[in-house]
Amino acid sequence: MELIKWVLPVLIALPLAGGVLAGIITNDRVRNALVTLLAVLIAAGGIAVVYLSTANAGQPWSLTVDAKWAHIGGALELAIIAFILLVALRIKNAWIALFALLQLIGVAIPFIIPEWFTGPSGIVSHEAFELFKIDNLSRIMLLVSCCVGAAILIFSIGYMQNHKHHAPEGAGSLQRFYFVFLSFLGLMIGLVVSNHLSFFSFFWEGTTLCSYALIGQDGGKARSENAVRALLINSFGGVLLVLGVLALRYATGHETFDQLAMHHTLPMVLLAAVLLSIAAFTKSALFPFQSWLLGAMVAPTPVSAMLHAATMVKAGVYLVMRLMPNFHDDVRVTMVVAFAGAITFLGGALLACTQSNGKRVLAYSTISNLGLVVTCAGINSPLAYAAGLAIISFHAISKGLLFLCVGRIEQKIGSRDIEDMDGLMFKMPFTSIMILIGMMSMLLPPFGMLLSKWLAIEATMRSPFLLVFMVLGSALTVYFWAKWIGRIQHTGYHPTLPKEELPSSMKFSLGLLALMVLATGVTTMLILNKVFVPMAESAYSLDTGICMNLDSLKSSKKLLTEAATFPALIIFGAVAIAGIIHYLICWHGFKREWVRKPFLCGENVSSEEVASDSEVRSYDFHSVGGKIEHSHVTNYYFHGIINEKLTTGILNWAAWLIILVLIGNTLTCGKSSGKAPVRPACNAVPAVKECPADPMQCKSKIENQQQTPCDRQSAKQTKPQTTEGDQTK
Amino acid sequence: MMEILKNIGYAVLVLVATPIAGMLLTSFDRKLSARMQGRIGPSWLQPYYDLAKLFSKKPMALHRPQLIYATLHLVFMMVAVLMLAMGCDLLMVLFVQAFSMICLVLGGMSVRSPYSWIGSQRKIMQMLGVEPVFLVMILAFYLQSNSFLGSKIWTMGSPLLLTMPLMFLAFLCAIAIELEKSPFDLASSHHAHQEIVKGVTLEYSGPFLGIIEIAHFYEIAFFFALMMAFWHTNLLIGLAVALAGLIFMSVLDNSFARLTPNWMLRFMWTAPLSMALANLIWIWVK
Repeated sequence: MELIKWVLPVLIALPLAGGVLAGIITNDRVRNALVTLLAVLIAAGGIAVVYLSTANAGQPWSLTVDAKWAHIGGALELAIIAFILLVALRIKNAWIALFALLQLIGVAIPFIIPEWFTGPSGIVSHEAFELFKIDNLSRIMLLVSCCVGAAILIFSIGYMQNHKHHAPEGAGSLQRFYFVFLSFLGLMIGLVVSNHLSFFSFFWEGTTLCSYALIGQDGGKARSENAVRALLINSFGGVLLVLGVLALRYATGHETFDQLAMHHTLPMVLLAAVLLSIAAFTKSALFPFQSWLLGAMVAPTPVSAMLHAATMVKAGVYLVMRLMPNFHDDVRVTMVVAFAGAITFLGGALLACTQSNGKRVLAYSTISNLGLVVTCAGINSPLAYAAGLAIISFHAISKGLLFLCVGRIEQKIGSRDIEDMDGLMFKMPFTSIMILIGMMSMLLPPFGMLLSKWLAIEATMRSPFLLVFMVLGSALTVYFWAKWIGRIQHTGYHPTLPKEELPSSMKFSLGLLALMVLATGVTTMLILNKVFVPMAESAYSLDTGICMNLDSLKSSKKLLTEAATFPALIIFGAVAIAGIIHYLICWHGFKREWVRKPFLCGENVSSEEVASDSEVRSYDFHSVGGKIEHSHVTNYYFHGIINEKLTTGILNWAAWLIILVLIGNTLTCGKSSGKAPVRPACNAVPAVKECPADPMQCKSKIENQQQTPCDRQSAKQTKPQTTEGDQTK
Repeated sequence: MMEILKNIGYAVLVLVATPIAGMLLTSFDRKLSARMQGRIGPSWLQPYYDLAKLFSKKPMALHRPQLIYATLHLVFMMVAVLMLAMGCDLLMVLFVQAFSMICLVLGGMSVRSPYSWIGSQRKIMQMLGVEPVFLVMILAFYLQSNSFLGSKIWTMGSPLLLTMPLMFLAFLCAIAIELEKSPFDLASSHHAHQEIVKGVTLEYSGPFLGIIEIAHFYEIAFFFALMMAFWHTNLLIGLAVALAGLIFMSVLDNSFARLTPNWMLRFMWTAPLSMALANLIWIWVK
């Protein structure tokens, strides 16, 4: 009957157990086979869980357990924080130790003095609670983590074999790598389905620890410094997370996302949500916490891909997306969150334009896109929420592909500089085509990234001040991608493409990701209309039981229906027809005698000269007196105009200010208590109309809405548990 | 069935009529410029003769990918024009048009010519300058008509120019850049007052340059239509407004020499962008 009850724990445990196993196995071939098997199982398991959880008409699925599980969660959390403390003592870093200690105290307090954390009811709660809950957001995250994560796993087999041979002295072994790498994925899967915050924090700290271990994988001073920085910043986030959970427990006596959603009108809960959001900023490397993600580039490429596409940074935006819809009435607070995202969107795009290091460009682009997701979450309208979901998923696929390609290129040409990728098209045609697909999907209509950015801009119409950031940021995004694409396919004439040799695991995973990019690109409009938009609507009107500000819901819906008229078919049709005509005339009919050499202000060098002298390139020319001149022009990186350090400083400063404003706004919001009468303008009737088959659920929601926070006290004990987990019991 | 045929007929009509209009606008521009310089100027059909001559030439190219980008440039420009004519989402029309320009840039970057490369770098700088202004303008359209659909502009009562005068000025600057008018013709200048003449399109010749020329006709008509949209209530006045815009650009073209790319970017991100934003905020407050 309840197959998913077993599949989900297995899906979480599988990578963890597999990691331990991979850590024990010393034979490379056996381990590779194991990793391949695990990758397939994880992808299949993720899809299975998503499929099984939707059995009940897309309603959230949840697993209810009794109260003693909360202690287990607490114990796990304590254990992992104690481990971080040990690590901090070993590397002798006082700050990390301090943060870990603070977290320990924060987690331990509710155990020591439970009577402080009873919430309005006044008694320590021993209720059963929902341990795991899979709603639409979790489903999307599961698909992203499992599918993209599996592709990265498969890629890593070929990559790490190669990497082993030229890894620096003191690099960690492959066993250590796969142990941490697989655990990382398992923890991430656990994170996105956890409803209880103790478990959530355990998985959260777990991913922090894994990223620390993976960044330092190759050993050496610079790497361990970067690893320590990642641990430091994320520990700081961990402190905020623990504080947020404490605030939530203090206010409600519970620590689940459900309770947070239910008590969203309490000022203390708002504070908790804001603290959790700032913790999410550290995880998602938003400004001013971005430095750890840039430092993380020293790790082997599959790690970067995992951090950027499937795990870690996505955990942060996931948390923000989970929290924000509950607080859409607190516009003063959520708009500041949107600003924190917007400054990151603009800042990341601006700094990406100044970079010639390919991996750093990708990193800044990730940071920028994460900022965009946070902006969408902060704007807090169904349209923006749909855009956020779309960016998370499309970005994961495209960025996974891009990172893996850059990793492959780096192994082959020994550099990650964009200028060194000159003419790559005829050195590594397969990888080049893959990376071109990845980059084109970032800016080509009607691919997912562009369409979701388009949705995001349309959603931003709620606040014209955010627009400045959005508009400038999206213009800058085009700039740095175009430069990079240009560099890769900057070549002379070659009659045929050479064949590229690469390990089959790499070829498979690159091809798979590229196929996913293309498939989602072709069906973007369908996915948006059929998946993300209904999800966003349910997140705002049904799931949370909150009565949405009707005007904004209506205008969002109108925008959505209008957006649906977008003729993706026209674009595809036109491109297909043009493609055929072009192929017949210009590609198939291309003649060798059409080919000329470029104009270079002098006689071009002959092919004999190129062949005889290794210094001479085919694009050099003879200047005065027959002297051979180079004619190479680099891209424009705003050197002398934008100083990365200075700009980062200014942006960090601004971002800190925004965070201060965020906290200040939250505190005053609670004090001024303009919230005390709960949503007076709220009209509950439409919410009833749109309710699904379960009238009980609806009713209890409406009752909740009409009560003031004080009335909740009595309502809480009598409130029927209406989730599916209970009904099936 | 009739509906589909009608739509296809409309699409074909738009795709045929637009470049002809673009051609006429080009010769109008050239004649006007000539008069300002005391010349008589070429005949009205000169752009057509030029085009026909390009297509009669022997094809020459550096390599295959270069040609793909020329085709894509034209195709996406046609799609943009078609979407505008069908009254689609304006923001998406803008993105398609921008991608068409990116294709031109990538075509210029795909060949091993330093001049073409510099031209392309400048072209993306130009795009960086104009995109924010275009975006803000479309958002202002949204605030006025409460919809992103181009077709909704027709339902509005009063001409847009009355509420968006500053936006129109900023838009003119942006079009001057897109249509390569001095002092903004950094990327593919027709004349020798820039350091680089015909930068982006330098390595295109014959029929392939012809393709880009056709795309250029579409582009001129595209922007002309957008200028006309500022006075949508009366087509004649709209025509007058758009022609005035064209004349303004011609004057600009003939009275300035050149700028550096950085100056252009700084100018666009300060004066026209702040004008556009000021206008947006004014509409918002109203």
